[in-house]
Amino acid sequence: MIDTVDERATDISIRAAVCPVCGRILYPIPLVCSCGQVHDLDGPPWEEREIAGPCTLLTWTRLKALPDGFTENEMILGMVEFSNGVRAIGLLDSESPKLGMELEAEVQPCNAGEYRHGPRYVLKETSCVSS
Amino acid sequence: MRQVAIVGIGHTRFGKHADRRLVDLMGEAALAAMSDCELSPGPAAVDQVLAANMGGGIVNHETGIASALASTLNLTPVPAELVENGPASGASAVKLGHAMIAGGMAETVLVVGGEIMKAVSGSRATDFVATLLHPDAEYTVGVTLPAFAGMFTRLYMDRYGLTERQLAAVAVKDHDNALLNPYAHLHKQVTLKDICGSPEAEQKNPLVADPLRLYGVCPVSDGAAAVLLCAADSLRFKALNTHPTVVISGIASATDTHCVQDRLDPLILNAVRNSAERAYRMAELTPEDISFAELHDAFVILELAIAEEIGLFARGTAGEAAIAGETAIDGSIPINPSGGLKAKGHPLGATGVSQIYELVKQLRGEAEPGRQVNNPLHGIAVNFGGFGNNVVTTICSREEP
Repeated sequence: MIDTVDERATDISIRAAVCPVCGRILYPIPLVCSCGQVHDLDGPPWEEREIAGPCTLLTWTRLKALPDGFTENEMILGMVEFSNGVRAIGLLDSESPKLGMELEAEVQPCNAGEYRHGPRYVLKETSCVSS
Repeated sequence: MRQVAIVGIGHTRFGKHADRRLVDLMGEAALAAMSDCELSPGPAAVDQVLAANMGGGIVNHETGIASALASTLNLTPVPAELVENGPASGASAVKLGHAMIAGGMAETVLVVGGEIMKAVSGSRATDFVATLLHPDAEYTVGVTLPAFAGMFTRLYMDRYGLTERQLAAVAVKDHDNALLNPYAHLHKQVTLKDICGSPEAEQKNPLVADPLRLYGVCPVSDGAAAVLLCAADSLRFKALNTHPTVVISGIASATDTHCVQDRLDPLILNAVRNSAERAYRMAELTPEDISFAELHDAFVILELAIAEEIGLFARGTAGEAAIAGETAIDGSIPINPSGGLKAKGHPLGATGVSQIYELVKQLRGEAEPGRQVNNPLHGIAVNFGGFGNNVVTTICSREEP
């Protein structure tokens, strides 16, 4: 059978899992929680939830030398923390980033080069969030 | 546990070898290591070959590197395996070779690390290295190792008040040392005035991963290095030990979370600290005993952060020490007398082996004039895989006759 549908970038949600034992929210989802609970084996299922929305900028960089597959001249990347403690890295859409600034994380598809296909966060200044 | 000595060392020039075959380049370093201890290649020359390489399959379209190396060196039927542990592949291979001898599986192990990265464009080389990041949470986003280094540097500057001038001082010192190292990739002296503090300097030293600048980042390099390990209590050691004796007194590795953002404090390099603590314990040494260090400064910020993590400086103070000259060849604790990854170069699979080559060269007292550390007894090397995901610390010591 020939698979003719490329579904790599159609799911644009980013999901975390909640450990049913310790309650920690895990992203990316591991096979084993730091409390020792094994994912979906011999125990209650791990609840999954989408992670997006308000977050705080922990650090950032303006990258001038982009890897293969990206055509932009530069890209600003930021590391953020959501209020539930989950941390993530995303594309930062801000002209004057400052450590500790409040941002809104949206999920958008990325299709760059041969292997970068999937959802990624785009981190916007709160006043610039699309409606 | 049997004591393991390093009896032979070999090195190619780091730089551009895109016209060479990877296995041939690694073979050149291997032959130099065997020649260094007056060992002729042949089927019974060594008990084991370990090759260290990260990108042969992806970048050079070459796999089966360990067996090809054994064959071209006329060492067959010697057992030969490839060790891949990202940019820490080299020291990982030395660690495994050490374990094989210490555990009684072999008396002699030839460890050869090599990489040819300049066969592809800089953006492809950057992309290939980034494949060690988390495929969904990091790689897809466009994160690269320089990006992590930029984010780490900004956080470090914010917390400890590190200045661009202090960062630039690391690069200046590394370039000075590399100038005297015939195997270094970059033979170019720079001054603080050249790369810091003026619009002209900013033009010469542009931002790469803000706040990291060009002179804060290592070059993309090709190259190979080799060491020959030997059981120090064996008959073969007596024949092969043709230089002042250098032993591996401590070697250990540790891992940290795959995703950097998962770390409670992204500025704490847990794998560096854990591997160093284990290596110190094995060697029965403390940071105060160390005479000099070879640290994985793929980005100059890492020379400072690793030096602090392994106990050479208090946290947040290595920048001041660098600008005060404490890490220069004649300083209180010389760091990267080889020029470091910053100026000697960073051919991934070769780097960890090259660091240990340098430890041996310094401990023997055989470094080139001007970059020989004064009478060293113990040297430490930290080989940093990923962005601190998997780190190997090695301590080598000179044995008094």
